[in-house]
Amino acid sequence: MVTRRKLALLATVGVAAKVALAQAPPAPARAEGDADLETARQQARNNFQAIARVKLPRNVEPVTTFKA
Amino acid sequence: MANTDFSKIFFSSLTEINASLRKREYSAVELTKAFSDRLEEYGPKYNALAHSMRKQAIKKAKDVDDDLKIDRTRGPLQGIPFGVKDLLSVKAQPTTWGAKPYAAQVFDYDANIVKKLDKVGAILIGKLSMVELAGGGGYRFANASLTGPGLNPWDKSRWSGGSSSGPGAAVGAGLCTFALGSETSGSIITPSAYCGVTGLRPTYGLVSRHGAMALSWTLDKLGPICRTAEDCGYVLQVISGADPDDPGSAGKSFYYTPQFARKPQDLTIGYAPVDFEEYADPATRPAFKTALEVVKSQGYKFKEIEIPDFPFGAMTSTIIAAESASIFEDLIKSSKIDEMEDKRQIAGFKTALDTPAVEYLRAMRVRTLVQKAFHDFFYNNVDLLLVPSRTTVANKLTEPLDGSGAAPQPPRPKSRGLSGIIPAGNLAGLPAISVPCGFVDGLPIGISFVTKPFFENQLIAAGKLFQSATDWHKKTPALT
Repeated sequence: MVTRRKLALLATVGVAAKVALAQAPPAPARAEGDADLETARQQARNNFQAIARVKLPRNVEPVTTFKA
Repeated sequence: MANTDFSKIFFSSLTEINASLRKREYSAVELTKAFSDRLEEYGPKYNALAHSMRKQAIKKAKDVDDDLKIDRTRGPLQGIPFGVKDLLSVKAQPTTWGAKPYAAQVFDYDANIVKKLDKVGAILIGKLSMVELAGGGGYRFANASLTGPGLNPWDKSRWSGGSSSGPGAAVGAGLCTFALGSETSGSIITPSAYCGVTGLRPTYGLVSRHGAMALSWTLDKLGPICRTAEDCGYVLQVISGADPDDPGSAGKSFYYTPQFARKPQDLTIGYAPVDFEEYADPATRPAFKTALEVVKSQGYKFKEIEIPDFPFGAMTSTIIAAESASIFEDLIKSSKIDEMEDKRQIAGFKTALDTPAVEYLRAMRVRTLVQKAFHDFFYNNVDLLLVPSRTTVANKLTEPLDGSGAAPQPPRPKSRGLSGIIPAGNLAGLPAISVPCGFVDGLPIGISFVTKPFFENQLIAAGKLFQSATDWHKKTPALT
């Protein structure tokens, strides 16, 4: 059921999306038909998917200031 | 001093050479000239030399001779000719990072570890070639370098390995007594194995990165490539130590203390038979089996283990992509990136700019789990790991390095063994040493010992013990 509350929420999300897009840096230019670029992109996607399969508890923080 | 036949000295260890210098069997100037001649003659033939520093080296050698005349001794590296990978800055000398966009780059300062070696009287005779930008974008062919593909001293149709291709080839060919290489993920271990020399990757943060090209702030390490494990110990002692100029510095020093090495009987080595029997290329298995038997005969306890289960390769690739894209952002966004040699590498760097922050951070969060897993591994299970440094001999120059040109591979073994230890060890900041352990059709192979952070003495002791029972590290190639 569509309520006024839901309509207000949709409007807020829509505005937020527009602001986020406006603030995002422009995407870098991409060469069309570049097999090496497509291979690199696919490899990157594969990597992200492989890492995403690791069970990661919420409280684990990144090693951003890495010391062995 | 009588005319010295330096052909017998080019493959000597630094301790042997230092002892001869102190006995005045030859002078530091004579030694430096001999090595500089050899580096300038053979370095270009093996694409190992980026830039000779003969003039400065001879000047330094005169200072060393003056010191030795009055018995002002500075340690075992005094008078020893060495080279550095061309990502280490040397004041007023070209530092090209192996890449055409930086071919004319000159810094006005020395990297801190270059200064440290200078202070103890070691003699820098040349900058050594490397894979362009240390291969951070992912390169497909061995010729991904300003100076061409590093050629293997044992077979010029084969690669010397990378990204420390020059250091591996130069030490392998006896063009310098030792070299400094770097490793983000495999770049000391690989050329050491392929060129039949001993390479040590230190614990992350033990050796200052100040003055070295950064590829990945949280993965880069500088380390020695030498003729023996013991030599690695002496070099590491000099180059290690706290450095406020390096944000990743662990604030620790290293002192080479072979006298306190634990007996093998008190140590447990973790290994996986599957690495030696299935992951290793079939042609290498007999040689690896022999090497494993030597280690087993040395008194250690052995335990079969399996590496923790994480996507190590995917993690290192994502972390390197994000960090290198930030480091080289200006280059990647300019047309200069297209001047690089390897098309796959160019594409890799361009793609790296699109790495979402959340993916990088996820990889760095999983890295926390990796670090904990290896901490538990070493404190509850084993003291050392033992694994083939690489599972094949050096690639042919024309072979794609991503395996795309290879014959269909057999199914992957069910057990993980210790496969993935190179990215895993680098993610966890673990030190490792690769020592020569045999030959396959005239090409060297190596085995690696890996241990917990800051236990380099344990690694060096294991490598030294292995080298006391074998002579693979003493074999020398016939150069052409």
